[in-house]
Amino acid sequence: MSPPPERTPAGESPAQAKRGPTLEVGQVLSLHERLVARDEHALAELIEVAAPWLLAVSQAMLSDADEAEDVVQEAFTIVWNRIGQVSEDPRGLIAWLLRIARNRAIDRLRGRKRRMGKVAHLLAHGPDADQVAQAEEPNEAATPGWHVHRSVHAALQALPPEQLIAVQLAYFQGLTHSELAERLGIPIGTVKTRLRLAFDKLRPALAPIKDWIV
Amino acid sequence: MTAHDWYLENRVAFATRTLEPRDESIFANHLSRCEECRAAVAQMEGELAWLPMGVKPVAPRPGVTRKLLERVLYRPRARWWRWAAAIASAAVLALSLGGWTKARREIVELKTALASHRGRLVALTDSLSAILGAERVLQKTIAGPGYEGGVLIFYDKDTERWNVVLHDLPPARSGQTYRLWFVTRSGVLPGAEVRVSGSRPTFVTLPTPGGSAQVMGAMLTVGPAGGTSGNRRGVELAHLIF
Repeated sequence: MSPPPERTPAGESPAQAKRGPTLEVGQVLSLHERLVARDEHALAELIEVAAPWLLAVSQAMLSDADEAEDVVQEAFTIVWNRIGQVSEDPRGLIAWLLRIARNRAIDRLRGRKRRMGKVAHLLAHGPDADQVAQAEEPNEAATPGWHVHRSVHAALQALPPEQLIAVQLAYFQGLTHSELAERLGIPIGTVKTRLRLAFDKLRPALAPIKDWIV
Repeated sequence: MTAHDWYLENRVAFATRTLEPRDESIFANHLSRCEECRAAVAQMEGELAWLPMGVKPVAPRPGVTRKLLERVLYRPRARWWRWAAAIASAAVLALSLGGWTKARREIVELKTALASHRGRLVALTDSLSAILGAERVLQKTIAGPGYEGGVLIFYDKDTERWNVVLHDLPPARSGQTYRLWFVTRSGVLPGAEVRVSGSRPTFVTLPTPGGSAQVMGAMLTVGPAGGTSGNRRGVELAHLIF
């Protein structure tokens, strides 16, 4: 169940591979300011950069492309309407978007009756193989933010298999403790322990990551 | 184990939203009261902020990026227009209501004024009918600098009272008053002091002086107030003899 090592795109220098092809520094620094200034081109750039990641988070939760797009749209709408007005996530713009999208997806997941169908599907077949990073296509390395994905992926890979599957099902698929216990056939206390241990390892591993959009 | 230990154990579960919905609600309620847990959860959320990027990116379907941009940009405007339309409707309704209330108030005021005028008309008609039916009526015009008024006196047989009307006369100066006198066979008898407002006619109704004196006429004077000795006091303005 553990994700295989990620491949480094051929022809990239180690520095490039680590950082990934991000926006130019000037553009990066100006995007947040341009969004605050209601620059619609900046919003288009943000959507271009962040939508693949938000769609991934939402679709993994909801297993529904249309609903995932609705969630992503809500996340962008919230950020566009509130940027510069509220105290934003100190981790940065993309982290803020990710949090909104994930929370919205969880809210939808818990609010709909179809959730029972999804849970039944997961209980019967396990998580969809392509939802949580298992393998990467070379062209995905061109996606802005790929370097963050690599760091997160590496941190997840470092977890023991039983903790990794617990995190995948709970965090990325939206299963609650009791649903996870049923899915894995283990006591709920064991589920909690596995998740707590996993997150205790992930926290220091992910904390140093900085936003690549300012 | 204390009650707070449950919250300590479930901090990371709350921060990652993996708690059962019911437990999540309980924890959220606790969070509003516990600064320590609030700070700890905020720190965990920050540390795990990038965990959602553990999933592989999903390439948007064709046209999705443009659709997202259009919806994000145009939805607030549509909402603004909806709000504007709602506000405009409310404003029109408020104006209509205000206009209706004002019109209703004016109608009530006009009705009140009409009722007052009708009352005065009835009183005047009654007075006129009394005057027209009276056997003895005397009237004299009184003119002075800047005014032209008059005095009317008549006897009403039904009530056996003398009715006096003063109109368009200026108010008496300070310390002075208008006074009506009756001319009888036994001499001039005092009637009554009459206050004149200047803007409206003054009506006075008086009994026959001495109860049964034979009235031959009347006089109107203006002079010092309080003179009831029977002497004619002040300036004579009108002398009327039947």
